[in-house]
Amino acid sequence: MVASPQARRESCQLAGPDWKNPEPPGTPGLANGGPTCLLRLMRRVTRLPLRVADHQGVAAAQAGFGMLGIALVLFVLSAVFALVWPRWQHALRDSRARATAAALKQFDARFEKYASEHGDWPAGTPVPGAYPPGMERSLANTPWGKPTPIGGRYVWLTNTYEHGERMRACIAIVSVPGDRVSDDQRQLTALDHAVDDGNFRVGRLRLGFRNRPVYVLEH
Amino acid sequence: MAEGPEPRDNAGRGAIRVKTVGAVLLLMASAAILAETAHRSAEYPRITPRPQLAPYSDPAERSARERDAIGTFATGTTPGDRIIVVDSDRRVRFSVVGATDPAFSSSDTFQMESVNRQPCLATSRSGIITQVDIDHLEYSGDTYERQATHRR
Repeated sequence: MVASPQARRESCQLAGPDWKNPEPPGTPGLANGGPTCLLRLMRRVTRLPLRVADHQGVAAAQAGFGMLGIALVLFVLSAVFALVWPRWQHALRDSRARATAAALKQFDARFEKYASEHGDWPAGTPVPGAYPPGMERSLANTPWGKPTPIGGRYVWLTNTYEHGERMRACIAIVSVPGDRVSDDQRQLTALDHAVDDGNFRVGRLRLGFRNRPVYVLEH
Repeated sequence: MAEGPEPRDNAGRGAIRVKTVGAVLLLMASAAILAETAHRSAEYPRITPRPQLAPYSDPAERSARERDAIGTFATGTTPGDRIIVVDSDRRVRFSVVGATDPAFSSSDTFQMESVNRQPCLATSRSGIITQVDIDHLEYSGDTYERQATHRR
């Protein structure tokens, strides 16, 4: 089955000269029809010019398939994003509400302790994030003074008028320049649920002046 | 034999067209889904809904309403009560009775407009102050009464 050197030379001649990569005459591979000849043949076959219509058809088909594939992937990603994004936002709101409620309850305990020791609430400090007098050490290891998870800062208010009600002592969450408290009703409802009953009219958490969240200690 | 490849070419072109149209439709659907998701994220229910404001078309009427609103209004006179001062230069100041700390005070500018056919002071940052009548303002769920000493 092994072709004679003569037959290999003939097959090589049939393949014709490589017009793109002409090999110099007298090359050993050409002379005896060796591996170089086979390579030439393969190269020639792969470089056979396609008919223009076929070529365009293949290219367009490949392009069409590629575009359809990309569009399909984008569509699936968009659908997944549309399903996941609202759930993720909901989880984020709940997480922020729980963190804020935990901080408010922590402050509540510190202020109650101060009131039981001193017989009255500390003086109101309307500056957002400022420590009430006498509470610096007590609130040092708490998130007081830091941005709240729902935006804005905590502020300690006494004898304040909030949404038609006079509050003897309360913690309000107020907007500061560059950091506004969320006005998303879903976020504030989640906060009220995390604190108590989910109703802004009653309970510990209410809406105060300019609909800011107010945690009531005494009213 | 020479006409053999043509039906194959036509079928190929048809398939390509179908794929391209399908791809374009899928891209449009993806864009619509993303736009709807973004719209739902941006349009959330606000705790203070934005009212539909209507500006006064008659400058004379607007000026008259502005003059009516000028004055000092308060929820009460005891410490802790809230005060709104409406100035003639279209500024409104908020403060608290008995509070000396400037953190209790703030100011804002306003335009006289109407909401539900009721005159209101549309402030730039502090929301809407509704003029209930010449002696009463309503703001953030509280009613403010004109103070006699500041009545015009």
